[in-house]
Amino acid sequence: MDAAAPLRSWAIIDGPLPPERCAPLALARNDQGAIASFLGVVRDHHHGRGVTHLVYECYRTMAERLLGELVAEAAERFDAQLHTQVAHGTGLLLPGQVSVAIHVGAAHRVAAFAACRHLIERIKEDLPVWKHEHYADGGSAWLKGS
Amino acid sequence: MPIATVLYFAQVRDRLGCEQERLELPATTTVAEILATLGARYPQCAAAFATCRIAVDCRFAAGAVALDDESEIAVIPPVSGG
Repeated sequence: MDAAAPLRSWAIIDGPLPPERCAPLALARNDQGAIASFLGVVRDHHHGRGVTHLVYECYRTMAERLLGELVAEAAERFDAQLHTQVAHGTGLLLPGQVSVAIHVGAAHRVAAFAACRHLIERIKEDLPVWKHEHYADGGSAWLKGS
Repeated sequence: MPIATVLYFAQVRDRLGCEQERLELPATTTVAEILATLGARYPQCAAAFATCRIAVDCRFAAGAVALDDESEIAVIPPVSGG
């Protein structure tokens, strides 16, 4: 059994998430039986319109604080020994690039899946980040929730 | 009355043409009063303010709010992260 403190990290990143943020390898530890991951990816279409790129705006100081609170909330709710890594990108992202990555390691799969799902839903509810979507037809729009 | 910093984001910032300003507000107020004050100051954004939440010093506020000159008020339009 690994008695070390659970790994918990969170970050707001400039630009799209790099490959190392998208892989959960740092969470593969002796006390983990399951790792659940969620990646949010920029889509190239929205309601029938082609999307060329997104610009993510962020209230960074609050977003960083809130991500830390959400990670703590997930541990409190699902398993105090959860290992958690969360990152959200900002700025200009192209279709296919990763905007958010959540990795949760737990002793068992039920807690890993549940905590991963909980984190993305809470991010969608509360993280102060806004998508400005730019379309192939030249238009653009701020998205209202998602 | 204290003079707090007010931050605007996304569609609200675009419509106001303003990212932040210093605004005199009561030391003891509420989220509803802050949004009503902003709506009266910027009628062109009153409908947008009605959909916004308020954060004070990086935490969502609800109901009563205590302000001072160091307070940072953020007007949070519906978020769309992820």
